[in-house]
Amino acid sequence: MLPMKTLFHNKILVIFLYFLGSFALILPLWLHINTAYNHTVSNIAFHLAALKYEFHITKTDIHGKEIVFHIQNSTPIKDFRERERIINANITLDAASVTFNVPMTLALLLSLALSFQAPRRHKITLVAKSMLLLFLLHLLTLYIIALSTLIQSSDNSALMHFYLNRFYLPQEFIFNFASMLNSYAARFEPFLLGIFVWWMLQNMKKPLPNTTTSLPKF
Amino acid sequence: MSKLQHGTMKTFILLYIVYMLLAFMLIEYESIKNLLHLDAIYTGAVVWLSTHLITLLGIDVTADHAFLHLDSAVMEVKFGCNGLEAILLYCAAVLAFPASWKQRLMGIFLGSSLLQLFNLLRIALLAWVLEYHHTIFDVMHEYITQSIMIVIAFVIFLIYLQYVTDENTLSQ
Repeated sequence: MLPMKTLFHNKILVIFLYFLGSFALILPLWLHINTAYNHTVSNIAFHLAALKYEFHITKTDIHGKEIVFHIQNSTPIKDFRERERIINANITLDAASVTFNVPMTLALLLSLALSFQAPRRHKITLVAKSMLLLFLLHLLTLYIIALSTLIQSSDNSALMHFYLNRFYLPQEFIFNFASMLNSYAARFEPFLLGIFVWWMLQNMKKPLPNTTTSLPKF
Repeated sequence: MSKLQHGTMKTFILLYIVYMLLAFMLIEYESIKNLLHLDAIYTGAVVWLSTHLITLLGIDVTADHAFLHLDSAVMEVKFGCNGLEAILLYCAAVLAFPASWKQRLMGIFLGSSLLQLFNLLRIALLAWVLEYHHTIFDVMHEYITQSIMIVIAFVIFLIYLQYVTDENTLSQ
């Protein structure tokens, strides 16, 4: 068994203490900027999703944490009587349910960066890379959710159904992927990015002889 | 702390994703849910244990499926609040990391128990906040207690890595 002395002589306790300090600093800051961040990511993700299915956004409303996108078809369509039809739909995105873990994740990244000895420039680059990954994860999640919501909206409108049917829609895949990302990705981001940063910081240290032999063969 | 080599890390990530997908299927896949609704069974057990812990804090509480009825409010323990996702996340990481089966089983048993203990304390704390300081409940729930489980899972995983590396070094 692992002796407690060894356990607390290592970095784990230091990481946890740095984490508490970082979290206390980051949380108030995040509460100030989260609305702006959520709107930015939602807008980019929804614009990309709308572009894919040939819609354009006519208006954007904000209702609390949710953003409502009013969309219209970009490609003109005609019904069987050759009358031009316009599709209007309102799509709601809730970015807060995807990004709520950001302060926790950033605090974890910061605590890991502070706990390890590595050149400052490398640490800054690593944290910046991780933040970019975090942003991309949010963007991907919201993009897939936007696609899924757009497809779902066709259930209530025959015209929308007809309009979207022009595209290849792997509906089941998109619904399941959106459900998985919504339920898991945002919640797991601190864990996954934590392991990534920890691994990168471990590899930044000078290689020690025989370090790999302590691990069993895979 | 243990040092993962490039190839090992790649294998770890690949296995981790596979195990997470299996966990996702176990919880979300309708056919499996019809056979064994693991989430509901687990939530029931967590709610039952939570009522005992909350009663110890001097708060009157009754349990009804996934609901905790307090004097002034009702709390619903959903997936994410029952601690199962943090445990699955942790177990997937333990299984994906190269170690002996004895070490893995030990890590899963001790780590999961510890995680669930923290989760019960978290639910009791939330009930106390809801009962006596309900104005800060949303911030507490959304930003502090909801995701702290994932951070605790991460810290426990680091301790597990330490344990595996130390044991392997000692055995050599």
